[in-house]
Amino acid sequence: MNAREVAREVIIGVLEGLIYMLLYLYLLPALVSYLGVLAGQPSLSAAYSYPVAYAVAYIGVFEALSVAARILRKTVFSPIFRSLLALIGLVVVLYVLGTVMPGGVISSSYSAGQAKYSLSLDVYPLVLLFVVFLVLPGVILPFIDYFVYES
Amino acid sequence: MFLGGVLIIAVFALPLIYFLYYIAANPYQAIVVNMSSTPGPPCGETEYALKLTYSDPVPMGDVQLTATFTEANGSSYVFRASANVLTKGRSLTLCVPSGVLASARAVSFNLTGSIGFVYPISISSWQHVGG
Repeated sequence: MNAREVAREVIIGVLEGLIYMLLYLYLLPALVSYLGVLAGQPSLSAAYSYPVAYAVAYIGVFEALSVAARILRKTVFSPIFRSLLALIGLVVVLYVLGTVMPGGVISSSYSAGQAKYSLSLDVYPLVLLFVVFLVLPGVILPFIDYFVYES
Repeated sequence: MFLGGVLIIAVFALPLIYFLYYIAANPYQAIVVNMSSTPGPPCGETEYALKLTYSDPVPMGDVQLTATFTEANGSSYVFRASANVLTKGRSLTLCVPSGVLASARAVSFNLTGSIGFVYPISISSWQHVGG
């Protein structure tokens, strides 16, 4: 791989890292937080107010893994880095879920006069779907791809 | 593949978002728009028909409604109704003897089910009644 190809892979890797970062750090947490707000949970900010050090670390890790996976794409390290991306994304989403709605349950209560109302809604099926349709393919498919096309 | 996964998640999340959005727009009144109590049919002549009408646009599956009437001396009467699915405008009816309604000092309702047949939900209410 010459310098020009390496530069091209780095640029593509950075863009891929940005997509992963947007999805895992902002879009999915925003969805989880939005569900909580609709059900009367107090704050939307948990999805966006990561401590600066955490945010920088996450962005750095996403970008570094993505770029490394691109540059090393003909080696066995590439699927390992891609799988790590998916697993770190899962950790981020579970962290936000635990912050916004502990246990994956939206709980809310409401009083009107002497009447009391409460609601409990389990959103964990959504997390299972996330694991089945995004995380598992993200972990397994890079290895299948590597062993089918590169071996 | 990646976008396909995101799309599938979005499709499954949509009923949940729609359900919660409807609740946020009409807090709690959205679930029970009509809790009427009338004597006679479909219940017996000495019973009142307590009717809960579901009004959220997203169907609720495996529905169980439990009503507990508590008297001043602490004793309570429990009534249950269930349905495989509740859609907008459909009702659950409980037949409650008029004597129980007359002597009750508090009533609580507990509605359980699954939103869009996927997301388990429990809604409870508790209220003093005059007897």
